[in-house]
Amino acid sequence: MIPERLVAFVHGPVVSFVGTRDARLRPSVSWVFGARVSAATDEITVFVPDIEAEPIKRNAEQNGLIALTVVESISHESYQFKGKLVGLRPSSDEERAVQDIHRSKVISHLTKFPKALFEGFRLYPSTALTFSVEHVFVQTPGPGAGKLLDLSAF
Amino acid sequence: MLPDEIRPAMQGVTPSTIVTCSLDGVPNVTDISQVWYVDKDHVALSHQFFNKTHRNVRENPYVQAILRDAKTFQEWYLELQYDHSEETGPLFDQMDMELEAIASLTGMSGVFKLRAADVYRVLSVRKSRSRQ
Amino acid sequence: MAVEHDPEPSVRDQMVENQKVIDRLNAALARKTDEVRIIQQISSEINSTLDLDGILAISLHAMDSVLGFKHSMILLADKDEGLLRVAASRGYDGHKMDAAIPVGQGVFGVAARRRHVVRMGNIGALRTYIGGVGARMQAAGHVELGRVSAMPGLPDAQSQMGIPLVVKDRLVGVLAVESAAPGAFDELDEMLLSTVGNQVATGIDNARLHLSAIEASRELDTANAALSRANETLEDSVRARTAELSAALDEVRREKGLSETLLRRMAPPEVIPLMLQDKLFAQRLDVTILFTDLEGFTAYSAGMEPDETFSQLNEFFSWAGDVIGRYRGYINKTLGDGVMALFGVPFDSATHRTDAVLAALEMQREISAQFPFGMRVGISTGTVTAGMLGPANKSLYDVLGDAVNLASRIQALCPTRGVAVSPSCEEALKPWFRLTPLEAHEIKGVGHMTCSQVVGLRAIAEDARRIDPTSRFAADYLPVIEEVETFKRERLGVVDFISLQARDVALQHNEAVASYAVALLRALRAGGADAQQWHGIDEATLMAAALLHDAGKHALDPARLNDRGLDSAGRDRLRRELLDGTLQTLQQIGEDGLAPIIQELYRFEATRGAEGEFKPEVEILAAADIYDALTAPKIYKGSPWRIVGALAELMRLPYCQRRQRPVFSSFVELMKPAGASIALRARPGAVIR
Repeated sequence: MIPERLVAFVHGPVVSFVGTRDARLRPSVSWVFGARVSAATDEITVFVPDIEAEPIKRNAEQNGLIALTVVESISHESYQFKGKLVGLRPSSDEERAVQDIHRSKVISHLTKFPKALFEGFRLYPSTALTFSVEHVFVQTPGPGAGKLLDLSAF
Repeated sequence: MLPDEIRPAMQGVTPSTIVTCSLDGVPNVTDISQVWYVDKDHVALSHQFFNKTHRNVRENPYVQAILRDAKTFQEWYLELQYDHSEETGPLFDQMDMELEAIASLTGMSGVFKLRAADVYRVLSVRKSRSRQ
Repeated sequence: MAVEHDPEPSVRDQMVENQKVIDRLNAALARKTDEVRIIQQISSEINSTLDLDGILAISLHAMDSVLGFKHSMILLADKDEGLLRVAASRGYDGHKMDAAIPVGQGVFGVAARRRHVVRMGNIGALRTYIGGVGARMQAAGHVELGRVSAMPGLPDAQSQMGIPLVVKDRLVGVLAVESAAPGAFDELDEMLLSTVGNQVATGIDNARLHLSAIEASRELDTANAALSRANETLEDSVRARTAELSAALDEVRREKGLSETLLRRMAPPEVIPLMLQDKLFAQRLDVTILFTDLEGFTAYSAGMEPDETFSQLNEFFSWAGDVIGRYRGYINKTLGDGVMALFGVPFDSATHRTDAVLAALEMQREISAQFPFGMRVGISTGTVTAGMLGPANKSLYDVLGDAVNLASRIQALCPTRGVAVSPSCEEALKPWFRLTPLEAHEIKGVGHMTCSQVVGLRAIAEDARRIDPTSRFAADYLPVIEEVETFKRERLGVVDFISLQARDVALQHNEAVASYAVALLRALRAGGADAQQWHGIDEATLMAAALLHDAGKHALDPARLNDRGLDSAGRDRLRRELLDGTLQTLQQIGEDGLAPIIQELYRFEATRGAEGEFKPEVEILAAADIYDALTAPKIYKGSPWRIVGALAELMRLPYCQRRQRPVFSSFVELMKPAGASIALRARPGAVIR
């Protein structure tokens, strides 16, 4: 379901945030670094740094509802994926490398920001969070923001 | 509750991230350009469009926000609760004038309309642990 | 405060954190104090000049060197306030600054349009965001983007602050600062720059007013020059006619000058500021009203041209106004050829009765030298209501009350060249003035009334409360009084003693003191073995010193002179000021040779001679002065001292207690009633038989 272009977008030099909520509907959000989209299964795996992941993991396990917003900071093009948790596990060494690559992509792309901003993040240890995508929304500010992405036209 | 240290993160130089949740439990994550400082216990967000964030907080007032200091890169986590909206008054005027100033520079005068200043109570504030 | 770095901060960490907060606050406070002081300095610099360019340059320079704003502009609104143009700038070398900012565009344009400070630190970020949205909206056909004018200043400013300059609801312009760094300006910057902005706005407005005033006067000069050129080319006859007209013009100007002086007397000067601020309320006051009426003016002015009549009358009114003003009254209105004056408005005055009578007496004394007609004066005292009376924008200060009508009617039955007073005044005036009753009259609205005419001041010689008829003074030294009068007229003609004495109604005090002093000196010389020591004293000096010893009164506020509520500190202060004023007056009239003796006199009276020794001249003057102060009539409650009591008081002076004082003893002998016995020895208490 997830179009090619969108897969490439998510794999690009984007900044992403995952959102969850607890049993009392209190929401929590965290950076994520690096993502893997499986177009075949419509599943996305993101890597949540453990240092702030506690509430995310707890909430995901409690109700499984996930939102992921992906932003390209220069043009403000962005999309939000909503779906249900598939699984949580510690990231592997290989996935650690994926995070590093992602970080350097971002640094190269967002030249207006100093390197130190991104280098300062404690990427790992991290948790691989996989969820299955049920809806995709356009989040780019402007006309059409908040609407469901017209997947056929994308 | 808000320390002086957090003020540089509330100038709108770097975007903030906020997450809300609908009454039927679905979280929603979005970026906003600025979280305004109102006083030690209140912040404000601009309400311009009738979007998901706007609908969510009126059903479920709880919000979490990540604010960023453009100089030190320090991140802050805020837990907020939507309190009320103002369509007139000094806070509204200040937001409105700033919006007008920039809109006029992009030929967007009159298009970018501030509908209200949404005022939130600060429930908790802490520095993020995610930086080394 | 729920700020966390670690799960459990140690106590030490908390203390360190707190100290950091305290240090930051202290730094902020120090900065604020310094900068407020500097703001004041900048303000005074800006206000020190009326040159517009100077003001702009000073302001920008101060903003840079003192407050650290490196890029600043002063934008001035053009006449129809649609555009802002750069009038002065600093920190923009190499930039083009000739573009104009439309009101409503950008931070500075919005500050102008909304007349409110606008401060932003995220211009670049917000611009990108909004610009992106706008572009997408345009692409989707939702909107047509408007035109944006090029702007002066930094092309990529991240922070900007605009302070509108508004004077009296007019937008003068905008004070603008900017920076390439985001978040460059905080609330303190905003406050400081707003303060400077107010000063700059006022300074610009003043400079512009000054400029247009200069313009106007230049135009006037040009017009005058043209006029005088035109005059020069006239023929002789025309020139002559012009000269005639000029003379007539001067005359009219003089008349106008007279009338204006008169007008200024239409309300008491104290009242005018209150009038202008609409803060004058009706009040009940105890006042004295004086009416005048001219006798024979109608006959005198028969056959006169109207403008000559008016001119004559105006002269009279001005002259009368001068006299009345000198006695602290003011002309409330003129009625035909008469005047209505009020004494004791708008503030309570202790001396209004005597002031009115003295003013009237002086006018009657002087009028025949000035004008060929006579005058009647009617005076009455009573409670009136005073305030602004009349239709809304034409009200005048006025008084209502029975006393007003009475004074008017009394004047009608006053003999020509006389001063008539109502019964209500009589008691108050008797101590100082000689009164004779007039015929009883039926006064409309009041009934049967016997008024009195004021003949003049009571003679000291006839005042038994001052001079006992059985005393040695009365027997041998009455002619001294006349000598004093002559001396006063001849040597001190420049001083108006009555006017001086009217201030605290110490009428004829100086003449009395002089008379007693000279009499005492002569008595001392005449009596006894050690008469030699008195011959060294110069009579003229003594007389002059006695007459001028409180000449400084003319500069003191009558309210203070008559204030019986003064404590000893207040009295000392008053005495010092009186001495200073007197010494100054002595210099003015060329009598500063008298300064030493008068200074010693004041020193004596300050301590009642408790310390030190004094020259005999001073002792003589002190005895005379204190005696008259005790026995002369007073305006405040309480009667004057009886003569024996006053003399006993003299003996009780600390000076007289310390040693035998022949001067004081002789004075007592001179003034005491025959047969009275007053202890002359240094002994507390006095025995009076």
